[in-house]
Amino acid sequence: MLNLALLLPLAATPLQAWRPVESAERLAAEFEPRLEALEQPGQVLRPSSGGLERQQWQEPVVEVPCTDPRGMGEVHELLTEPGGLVFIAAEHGLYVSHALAEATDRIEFIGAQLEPFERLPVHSLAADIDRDGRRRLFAICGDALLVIDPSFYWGAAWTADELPGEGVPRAVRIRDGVLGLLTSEGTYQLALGVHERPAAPRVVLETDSFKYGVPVDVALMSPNGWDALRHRLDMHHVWLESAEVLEGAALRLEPPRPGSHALDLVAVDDLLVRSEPTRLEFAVAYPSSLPKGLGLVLMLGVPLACFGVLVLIARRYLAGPKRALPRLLLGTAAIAVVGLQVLAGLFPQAKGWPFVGFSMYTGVWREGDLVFRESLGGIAPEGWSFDMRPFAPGGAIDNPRQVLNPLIEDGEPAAKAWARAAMAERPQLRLGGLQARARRTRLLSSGPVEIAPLILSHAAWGDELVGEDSK
Amino acid sequence: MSFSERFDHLFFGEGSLVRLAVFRIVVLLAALYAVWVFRIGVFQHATAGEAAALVDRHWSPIFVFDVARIGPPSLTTVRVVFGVLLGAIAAGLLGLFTRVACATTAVLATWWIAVHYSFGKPHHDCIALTFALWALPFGPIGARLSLENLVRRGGRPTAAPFAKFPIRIAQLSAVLGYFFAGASKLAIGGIEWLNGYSLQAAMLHFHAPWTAFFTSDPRLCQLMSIQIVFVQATFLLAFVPRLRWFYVPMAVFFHLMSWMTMDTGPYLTLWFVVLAAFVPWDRVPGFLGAGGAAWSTFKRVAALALASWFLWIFLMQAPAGSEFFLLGLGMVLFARGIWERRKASPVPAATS
Repeated sequence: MLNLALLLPLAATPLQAWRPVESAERLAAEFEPRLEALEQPGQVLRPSSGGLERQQWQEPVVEVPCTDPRGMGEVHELLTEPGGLVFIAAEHGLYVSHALAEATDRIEFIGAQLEPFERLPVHSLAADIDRDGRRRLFAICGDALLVIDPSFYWGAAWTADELPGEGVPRAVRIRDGVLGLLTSEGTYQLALGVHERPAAPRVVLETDSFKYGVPVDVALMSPNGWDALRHRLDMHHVWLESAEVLEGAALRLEPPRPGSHALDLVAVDDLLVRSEPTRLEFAVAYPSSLPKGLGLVLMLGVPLACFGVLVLIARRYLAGPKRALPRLLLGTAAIAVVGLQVLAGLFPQAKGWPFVGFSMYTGVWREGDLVFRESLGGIAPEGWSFDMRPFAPGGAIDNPRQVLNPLIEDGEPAAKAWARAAMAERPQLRLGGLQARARRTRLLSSGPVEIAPLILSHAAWGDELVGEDSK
Repeated sequence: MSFSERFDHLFFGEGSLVRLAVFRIVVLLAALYAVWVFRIGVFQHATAGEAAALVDRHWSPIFVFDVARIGPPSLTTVRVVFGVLLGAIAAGLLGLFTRVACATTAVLATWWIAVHYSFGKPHHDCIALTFALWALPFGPIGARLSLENLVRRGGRPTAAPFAKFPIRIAQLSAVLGYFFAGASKLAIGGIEWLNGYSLQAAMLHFHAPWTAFFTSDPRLCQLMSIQIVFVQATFLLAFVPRLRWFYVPMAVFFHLMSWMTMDTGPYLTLWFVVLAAFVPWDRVPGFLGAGGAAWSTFKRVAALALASWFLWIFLMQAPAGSEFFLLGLGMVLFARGIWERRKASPVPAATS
């Protein structure tokens, strides 16, 4: 067990927070490479001569292929993280597998901080759940320690000069909230709770409103500074790196489509601890904004009045000999309606329904590309995970995100509320947790291959929720 | 023939009243289906009850609602509209106050669908249906297969001006939809869209019963891509009567395949309108009866099987009791047809 007593309570910088472990010899066993991982109860993954092999209970061993044409190279370590993903530290990079996966797949890092480390040898892995319930993955990659968000694969890198001592990092472990680091020179530890949560940034809009098509500056103020700023628009599940849109202390955004929007900002430290989000709500005006009354009259009143008049004319004249007027009016209306449909087809958009474009399914996918399919994962009390359908108990949804986003945002309370509602409909259900996940398929010339999903959120509440029929 | 005369003939010339009546019934059935299926979402969002609390209820209105500042409806509004809509659709199907019923259905069904889309995202399944509904009141839609004709003792008129108008509007909307769906794939995705992987990816986003089989090989997907884009981009040819034998079945086949390989659902709000608009219903009895006895029997059995299958798909998600309503409607129409036939048949000359 790592020695917690040597830790200082707080430290100003991460470097000062590292403490040498004086009795490292007895920790040596902790740092031995782990070469076996449990994908789910009864299903084991371990290295083989060709890469990895999988065995389920006493079934015959099967080779697990890898989608990377170069292969993984030598496997250094395997780790099952709390969300159920199995990470593989290997000679050619960081790979991932899962109980659902037909093949292992190399992880492509997101963002400027991690991208330089892609394809470098990964030596050792550790994972935990932080105090906000978010999963974290630590990896020794080359000479650096990477802290990775295992949902989206962005993160922070602690390079050699930010790590303690002069030695080369070899292995990393976590026990009881303490991160242990084995280097060629010695052993160090860091209490993962020593970092104060970064103060929330504040945003100031430097103008009254966004104007469609014109970038607008947003001034950022950070009381304590931050390691990285991330943002997202309209509750999107991916927090984007803000560095690319930062100009000094201003966030330069291309205004989105007209309508109401919400911009969320969050500060993230080098252990991926996040501040509370700061929200900026704003509206992007339509090209010609109409007053409420006028808009109502123009958009609904006029068409409905025209429709009513046309129906009256049709009723009055269709049966009689005087048909010139209805022909003229109906002909004009028909040409206008067809013309608008053609315009919508030429300039595709959806909000002008029923005059919409047809740009759906026009994206081009190529060999090697990934396909994502959102899914809700149930975790059985025994640890199995399974896909759950339908998405919305007792209700209707248009998009799986309408159910998944609350689970991602609100964590365990939202997951338990969902589980109770699901059990009211399916009394035989037993749940120990819920996951919002995106199942992934890689397109290969030999056919599509399912790889490990993205675990977007993971709520395992320890106790067991059971439906009426299972009590 | 000048352009205006040609236009006049195409849209306002005499058309079959029986065809228009069948068009009215099928379009209203599609509207009933849409209103019924979307009711779950519309009511859920209006009640803001327990089920609604579990999902993001983000009001992202369509352009018209946004500019007119129309917000999400209250539960009372939804209840009233739903009741009036069902009543109007039923009256339209039976042919009672047909024009008013269809006009009411057009306005309220459009609002209903738009509310549903404003809580999610707009889809393409109800576009042709919406335009067909709005065009219906401008034709002589109650002249045949309607109770109002029965009450008026309107007889059996065969054709009337303006009978083509609603059908033409529906045809144009459907054809434009398919054409732009195909053309957009080529214009935006380019010829590379046909590489097989693009269609494979589109199907793999979902988990339908046949997805695994049809996505197993990119070459199979490539063949399907070429076929889909060809049919969609050339769908304008469906206006050529002989080519409808190819395009209309292909459209139905396409949607049924999408249902089995993607998550589109039956999508019958579109292909019911395609069938309603492109099949010359007034000529169907003659077509089925033509040829030898065996051939004619075969065609009738095949048509009955096909119609039963389509109705079964409709009934899978239609309101409870629809089957009895349809059965009753069919019996009324059948009885009326027999009565009219007997009435119209010449009295045999007395033999001396």
